[in-house]
Amino acid sequence: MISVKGLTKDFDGFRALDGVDMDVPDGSIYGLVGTNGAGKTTILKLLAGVLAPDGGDAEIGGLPVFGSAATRGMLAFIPDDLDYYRSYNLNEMERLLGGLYRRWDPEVYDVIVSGFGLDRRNKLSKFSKGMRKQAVFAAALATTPDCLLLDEPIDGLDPIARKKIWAYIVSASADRGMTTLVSSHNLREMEGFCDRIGVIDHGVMKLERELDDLTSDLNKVQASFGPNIGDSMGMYDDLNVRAEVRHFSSVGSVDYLIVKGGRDELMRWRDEKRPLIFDITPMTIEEVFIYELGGESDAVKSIIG
Amino acid sequence: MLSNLSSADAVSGVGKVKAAAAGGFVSRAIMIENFRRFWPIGLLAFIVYFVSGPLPMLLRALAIDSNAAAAASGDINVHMGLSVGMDAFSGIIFAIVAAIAVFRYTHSPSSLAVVHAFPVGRAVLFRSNLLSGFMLFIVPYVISALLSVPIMSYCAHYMADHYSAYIDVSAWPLVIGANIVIMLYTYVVTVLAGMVSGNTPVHLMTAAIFNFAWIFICLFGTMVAERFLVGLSLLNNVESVIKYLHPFMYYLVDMDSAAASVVGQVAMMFVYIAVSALIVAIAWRLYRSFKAERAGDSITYRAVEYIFVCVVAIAGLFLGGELLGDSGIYDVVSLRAGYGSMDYVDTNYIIGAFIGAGVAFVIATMILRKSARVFDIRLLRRFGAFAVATAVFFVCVMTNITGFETRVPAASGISAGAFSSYGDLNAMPPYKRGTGLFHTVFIPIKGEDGLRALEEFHHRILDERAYVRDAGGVVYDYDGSYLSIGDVYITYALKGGMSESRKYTLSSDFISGSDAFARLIASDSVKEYMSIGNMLGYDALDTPELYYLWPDGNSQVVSLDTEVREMLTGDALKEFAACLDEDYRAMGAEDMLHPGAELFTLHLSSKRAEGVMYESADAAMSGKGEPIHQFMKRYNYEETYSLDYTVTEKSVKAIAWLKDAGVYDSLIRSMEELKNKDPNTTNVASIY
Repeated sequence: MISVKGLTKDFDGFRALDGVDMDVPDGSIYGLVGTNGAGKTTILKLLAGVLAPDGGDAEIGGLPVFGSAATRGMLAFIPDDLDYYRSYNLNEMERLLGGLYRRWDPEVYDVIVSGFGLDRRNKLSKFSKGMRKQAVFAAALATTPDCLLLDEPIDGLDPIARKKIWAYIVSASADRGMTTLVSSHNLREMEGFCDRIGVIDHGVMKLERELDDLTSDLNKVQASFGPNIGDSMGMYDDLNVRAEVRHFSSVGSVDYLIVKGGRDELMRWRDEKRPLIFDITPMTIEEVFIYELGGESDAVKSIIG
Repeated sequence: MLSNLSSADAVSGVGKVKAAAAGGFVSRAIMIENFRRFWPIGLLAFIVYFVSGPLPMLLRALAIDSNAAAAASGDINVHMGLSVGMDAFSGIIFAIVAAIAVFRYTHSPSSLAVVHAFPVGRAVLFRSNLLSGFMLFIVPYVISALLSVPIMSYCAHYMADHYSAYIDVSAWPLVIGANIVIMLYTYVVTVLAGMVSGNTPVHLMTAAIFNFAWIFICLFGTMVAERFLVGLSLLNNVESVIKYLHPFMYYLVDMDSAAASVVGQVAMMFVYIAVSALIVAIAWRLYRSFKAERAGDSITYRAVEYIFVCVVAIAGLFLGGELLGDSGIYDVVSLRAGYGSMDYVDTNYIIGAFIGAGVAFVIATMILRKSARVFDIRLLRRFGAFAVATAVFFVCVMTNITGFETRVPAASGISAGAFSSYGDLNAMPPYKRGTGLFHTVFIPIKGEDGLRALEEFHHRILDERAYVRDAGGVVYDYDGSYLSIGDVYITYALKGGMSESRKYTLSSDFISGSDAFARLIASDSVKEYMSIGNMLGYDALDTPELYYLWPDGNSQVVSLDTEVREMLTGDALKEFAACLDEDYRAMGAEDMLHPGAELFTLHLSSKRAEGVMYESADAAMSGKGEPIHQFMKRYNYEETYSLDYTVTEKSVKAIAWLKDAGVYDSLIRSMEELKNKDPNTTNVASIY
């Protein structure tokens, strides 16, 4: 659905995006994670057609995004700053967006607005930041977009509202095949909802993976064959054939491994080799990211919260 | 909740949701939205238009009988409020406000992100905003104008039926058209300004700059150049050109002039509409390439940043120069008081100009960078470039680097000439006072002696260049007393087809003591032009009156004795006037300097003066003037044109004629009586 190739954007000589590649399949929910200033908003604004790229291509549904009203008709973009709508109430928003979007669905709007318990007659300037986000989110979903672009949508929302928003997104993806690209500076917010995660740092896409791939078969293994074994690394050759040892380190006689492979294979290896200590733990998504991003840098810490 | 949403999705589907027009020439949704948000602008505009248009018109119509006489005697259209004025002025304000309102989203990154993500093409978005903004202030004006139709029609009929005063109804659509064009032009220029501005205050400033500031820069620049470059005379030419630079100025000036042609004014409407279309095209190109990331910056296009700073700095330059320069009686450097020297004025002006420019430059840069921390090498470099350009300008106008100040065409290369003086300086013997007109009029100079005299007078001015320059800037003599000054224009038509013009501000002292000036006004062409027969016409003369000018500037015109009055009528008056002209023609340069003892001054006037008035040097040199009575009517002067001819002991022909007619003694006696009156207890006029 969304295809980005070599996207580059400069602001007054500062390179905000440097050859970013990104691929968001149809109907998926894609989490774009990065620290403040990493380039998340720039990507979203480029995809919304608000900014013009300095290099590379950005397409939605095979159509270029910049300068194409038709493409913008297929998507809804919720920016982080919602000041524009401050002077509107929900009815006025409906009139404006209902006039602009061919696929405006008043029932969807009504259901979500009621779901959030928002008063249609109040100006958005009277709403809290969270309520304002809910209102604009309701309007965005009511345009029944093929593609929803959300810039930090959860920021400032209470847990119940967060849960509702995710539920609406998952529901629309499941029911209509809506593709969602959502940015956040916090990985934990994405966990459990996103199909795919992209990590961006200083305008460069550091990592782009299916979430299931990342978490399903990566395990932390703690093992020891006792102090007399000497160099224990050779003990794991067989394990590397059965699975894939991604990381190996030792502290004293205890070895620490990150192994990509099924739990059954690991158990079989334990039964055969009989180490004195053997402990197997599935890796959390945070641990996977620290590992994949090459260590626990400040940027990585910030992302995994 | 999820099930609710799912069911909603399931029942709605794409087929059920309504179709909305997103394409087309304009977006209806955007236009409706603009009307919904900004309707108070339209309402306020209507109230202001109504209060300044139909309402006072209605009040005048209700009190038509009490005002009709006054209206009938003056310009009935102006009396009814039918002119380019308040409507256009308020229209300009609302045009600027509307343009800022509908394009304000371009000044906020967050608003821009929302609006530019709408499924509306940029062209459609631009057109929708442009059109809705225009309608916001033009529709109220049109409604207001239409409301005035029945009122005007009623007044027109009433005035025609009861007072035989005819309202020129053809002026009415012209005024409305002019107002619409003024508003349209201001609006599109403000839209263009919005495309290069990144926030609302700067949008307002650039709107003012794009609409008007550069006009005033041209005007002030010319005035400064004239101030320093002795003899430079560009202001009249510049004024006649810059009025075209904004329709408000054009129609304000042109519609006030009875000589303006309706066809020309209508033609100019089409010109302004075409220019407006061009400005819209430029604005659209800028909008299309508008970079969202620059929203919120003061100026969104790099190229315009320096222009913005320079324009503000130039405004500061003029302001600083005028403020300090006009305190020229003090020497800013030594803080000593001094009179009469242009050195103080020049130094002060330049110091003031550079201080003003520097301060304005820094302030403009602060606005641009949205920070007070602007003092860096970039600022220094930019101001350095500006200061160098300014210095070059001042050097050019102050040092006669081009030789302009001292250049006088050789007499052999001159085909015709003209000169003009204004106010008191027009009081050339034998006439006691000038034309009394607040207009510069020109006297054609012909013939070898006339052109030589003009050239000689010009040389004499240049010989006294320093003194002349002082007179131009300071109106106080060395002892602090007030100097009577006026502008003198000298123009030559060269044989090659070109022309040279100069303007000098001269004091009356300089003129009255100048033998070169005396030779000029004693030349045949001046005497021929200024003769009574030429200016008033012997057949058109009214009965003369007696005129006296007291030394303190008070003057009075009184009727002649009955005996004299009865004598000076018909053919006798023609004969007498011809004698006066003969005496005038006989006057040489020496007589102009020393006309002899004054006997009395006759106030000669005519309601149908047959002479020709030349408003420009070119007109004087080509002989394409305008009959005086027409000229007087056009500028709303009294129809009567008069000359005050002083009969001196050297006026032999006139004295002889009066003696023959037996009225000489009576005239002398009347004059003595008038002289002995106390001006403070007499109903007199002051010439000052």
